[in-house]
Amino acid sequence: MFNNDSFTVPFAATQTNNDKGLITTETGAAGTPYDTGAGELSTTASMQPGLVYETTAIDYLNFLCYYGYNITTIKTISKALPENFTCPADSKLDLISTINYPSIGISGFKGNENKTVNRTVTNVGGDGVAVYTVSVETPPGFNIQVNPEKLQFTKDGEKLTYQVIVSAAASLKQDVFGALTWSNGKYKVRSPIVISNQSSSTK
Amino acid sequence: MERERCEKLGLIRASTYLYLQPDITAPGVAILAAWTGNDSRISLEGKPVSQFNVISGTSMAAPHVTAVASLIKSQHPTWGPSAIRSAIMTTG
Repeated sequence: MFNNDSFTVPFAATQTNNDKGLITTETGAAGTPYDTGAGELSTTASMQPGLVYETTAIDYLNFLCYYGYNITTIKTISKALPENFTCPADSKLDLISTINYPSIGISGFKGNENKTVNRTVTNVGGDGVAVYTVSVETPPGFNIQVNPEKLQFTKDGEKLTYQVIVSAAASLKQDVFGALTWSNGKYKVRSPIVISNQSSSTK
Repeated sequence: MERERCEKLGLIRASTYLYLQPDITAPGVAILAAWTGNDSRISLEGKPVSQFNVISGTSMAAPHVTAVASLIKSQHPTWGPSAIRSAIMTTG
C-alpha cells in the first residue's frame, strides 16, 4: 500500500529477537515500543549512527514546564537556569512531543486532525556531504508526511530540521506505532513513532 | 534453543505512565555476571565458591548499555549525553 504524498510502506514489525521472531513480552504477546523502546541496542551500529538528535538543556527545562512545573519549582530542580528563562506561555503535557528527542510520541490525538512536530538532526557521519531520504512505516488509517523528504548536508556538524505531520480522519481506539527512518545508503537512522489519544498521566 | 528475552532498561513498565517510557532494550535474562565469592548456596560440593552467577534483571541490562555508551564516548570524545543516547536509540 503506497501513499503518493511521501514514501510510506505498510507498517512492518522490524523488531526481532535472536530466533528471528518478534520480540515478545513475558506473557508471549508481541512487544510494542512501550516494551522495547527503540529496540534492542546494537553494539556495532551505535558507534557510527550517521545522524544524531541533540537534546539541549532548554529542551529539558521546557520538558519540566510542559510537565506542569512552575519556574519556582524548576529552580529547585535545576539550579543553573539561563538568565531570563521563562516557561513557554502555552505549556501543557502534549507539548512534550516537541522536544528534540530521537523518538516521536504524540499524545492527545483526538482524531480528524493533524499534529506537527519538528526534529533537528546533526550530521556526524564524517563524510561532509551526505544526502538522506526518509521512509515511513505508517500505522493503518494514518497519514504521516515528512517535510522535506530529503536532507542534504554539505558538511560535518551541520544541523537540519524536518517536520512530521501526523493526520487521521478517524479517532484512535488504541495507541498505534510506526517509525521513520532516514537513510543515505551507508547509515540508517530510525525513530519509533507512537500516537496515543491519552493526554494526561495515568498511574 | 532458549528464546532470548530482554529486560527493559530504564523505567519498568509497571505503571502506564504515558510520558516516560523505555528508550532501549538490552539483554537482561540469564546473564553470566560476577557475584560475591561468599555465596555458599551456589557452590558445588568440594569446589571453591563460585565468583560468578547467572542472574536476570534490569541490573543486568543496564551495564550492557553503559558499556556501549562508554565505547561511543571513547570513539567520539566531544559528544554529549544526548548525542550518545541518540546513537544508541536510532540504531536499535
